[in-house]
Amino acid sequence: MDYFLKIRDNALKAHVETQTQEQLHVTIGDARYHVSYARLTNDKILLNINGAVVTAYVQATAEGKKIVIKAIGYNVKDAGSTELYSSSGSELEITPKQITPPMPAVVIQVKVKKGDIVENGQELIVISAMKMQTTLTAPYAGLVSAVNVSEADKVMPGQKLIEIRESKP
Amino acid sequence: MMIDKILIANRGEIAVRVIRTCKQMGIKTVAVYSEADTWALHAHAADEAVYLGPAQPGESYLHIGKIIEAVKKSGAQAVHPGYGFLSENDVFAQTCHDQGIVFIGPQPHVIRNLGNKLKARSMMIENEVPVIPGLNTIEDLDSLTHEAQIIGYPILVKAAAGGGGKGIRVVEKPEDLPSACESVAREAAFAFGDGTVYLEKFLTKTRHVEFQILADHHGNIIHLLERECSIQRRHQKIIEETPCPALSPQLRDAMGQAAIGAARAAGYTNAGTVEFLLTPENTFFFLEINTRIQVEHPVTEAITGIDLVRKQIEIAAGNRLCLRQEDICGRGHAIECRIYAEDPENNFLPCPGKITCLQEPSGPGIRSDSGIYQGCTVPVEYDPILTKLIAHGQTRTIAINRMLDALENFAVIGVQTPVPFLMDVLKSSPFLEGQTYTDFIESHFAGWKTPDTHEDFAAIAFIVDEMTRSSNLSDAGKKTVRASPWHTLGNWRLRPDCPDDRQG
Repeated sequence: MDYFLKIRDNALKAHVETQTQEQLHVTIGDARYHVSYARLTNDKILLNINGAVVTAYVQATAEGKKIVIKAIGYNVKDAGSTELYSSSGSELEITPKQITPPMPAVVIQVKVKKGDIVENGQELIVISAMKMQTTLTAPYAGLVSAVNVSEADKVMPGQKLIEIRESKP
Repeated sequence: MMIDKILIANRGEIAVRVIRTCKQMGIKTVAVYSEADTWALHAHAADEAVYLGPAQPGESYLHIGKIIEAVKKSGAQAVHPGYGFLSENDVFAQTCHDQGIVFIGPQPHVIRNLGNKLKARSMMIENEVPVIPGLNTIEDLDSLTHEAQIIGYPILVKAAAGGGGKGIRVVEKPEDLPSACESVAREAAFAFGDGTVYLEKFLTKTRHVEFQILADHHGNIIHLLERECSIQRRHQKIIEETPCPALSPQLRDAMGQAAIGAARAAGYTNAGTVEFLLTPENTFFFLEINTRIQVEHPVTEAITGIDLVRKQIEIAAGNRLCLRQEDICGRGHAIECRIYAEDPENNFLPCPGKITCLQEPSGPGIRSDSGIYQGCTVPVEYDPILTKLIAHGQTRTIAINRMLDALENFAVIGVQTPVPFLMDVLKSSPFLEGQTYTDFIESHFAGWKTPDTHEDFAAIAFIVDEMTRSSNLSDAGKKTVRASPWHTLGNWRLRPDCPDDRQG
């Protein structure tokens, strides 16, 4: 069986042959791995890969799985089943032109109101996460068509805090 | 006086750590918590817990009235303020004093005096503690430019009331000096209500070396050796160690005596930290006194064997220090790594969230001061520190290797942490050689990226997880699609890969 995986930005193909129970042969590129494994808990897997003992912590995430090996985290996606994600993905399209926080945060100050004309780069809103403040600026010049939050609101990445109708150049 | 019940006016790992010592001393403990911390570790580690109010610090952990009310209600005789929040707030210390509550820290006027950087500096000059060359009073423009020429550029313009990296500016050229003074004064007047500024020479290559002191109410002051804290990001320490690799016994003794002199000059009582800058030529200058327990206090505890929180409580109760300077002896080497919820690849931006998986290391010489548990949520409102790992060993090399082993066995999923970054720092040759200056991260680790050493292993773990996880579990993961920072920060869209690209 073949798996098409994406780890960070690298795509890779893994060819898997099942041996006896809890033993696998995995080929990735030129490398061949003999693997024996034991699932300890929901999020902990013990592996022996070509003799090397590896503990992997695994959690399902929105995009695939987060895997931690020797304290380093890997986001691994199943690129072979991307169709699964694409159907729900359409509503998820987020472009850097949106005014949305890069991390969960609290609104400190809203610097514009509906109807304001803003310049490209103008400061729109100040948010704070864990004692660090970030100012979000206008990605283009335009008219503020909506202000969706007010001060002290908790906000999440993806949430449109302020909407701007782009002015025609 | 007898203290048998203490309220801990803090949260997170430091509250848990203070509660632990109280319990060992047979003292009852009262935690306080905000709405966001209803299920936080510290709120469940104490004997009692009092709800303060909403998550915003001003409505909970920084609200003096509510804390005092909680003390009264619980019948505690004393308050331990931890670090941050109200720990260096002289008004809080004074209010405790006025209400007959023991504040575990120095006297209110001492906190006030040392909080004013210019006042502290003048106090040190009067008592012959070496300070950075500078100018205390700015009278007119002519004398200013003349004095600045004598000090030599670059120069720092600092606000007397400033702190935490605020109210400070570097000036490279004489013509920029008057405007810099004006703008720092204007900002400081606005931010701190005090527009007083002063000048200091800007020392470009320095180590941050601090001395732990203990002072009782009977005139006894001792120091508990130094800590080096030069590895910093955004002027905040992330790796600390003791002893400092650069100190000779003679220099340690001279700096320790200067620290005691500084504490004496300030009329200091309880535990405190005297911070110095140390140049590559081994000249040291007083920086400031921190009037609280420090985040990095465990490294001192490791090499001296002394529980600093216990000493704080004993001193606050009026006990005499039973230790003399000659009783203090450092054994081996200790290193602390701070584990924050932050992304080391992305300017150490904080990452609040829910910790879905947590494995903390243990072993000989490893201490973990943790404020989290698997399943807990790291709130957005507070400092992002999760855990501190402390490694102690006979030599610096052994301590570093113990720390590396501990970091490698630390697993957390749900928030980003700098663990892989810390490992690379500890393995780097400038760190191993002890070439640690405050510009360390910018000089050696700018633009750092996570190494991808075990990509194939991660792929294998993915496959094994797929094969052994019950099907409904993995489906659940796929359905809860939500936006993450990775969506919003990068210039890309979620869409199916082109099938032709898969083989590549």
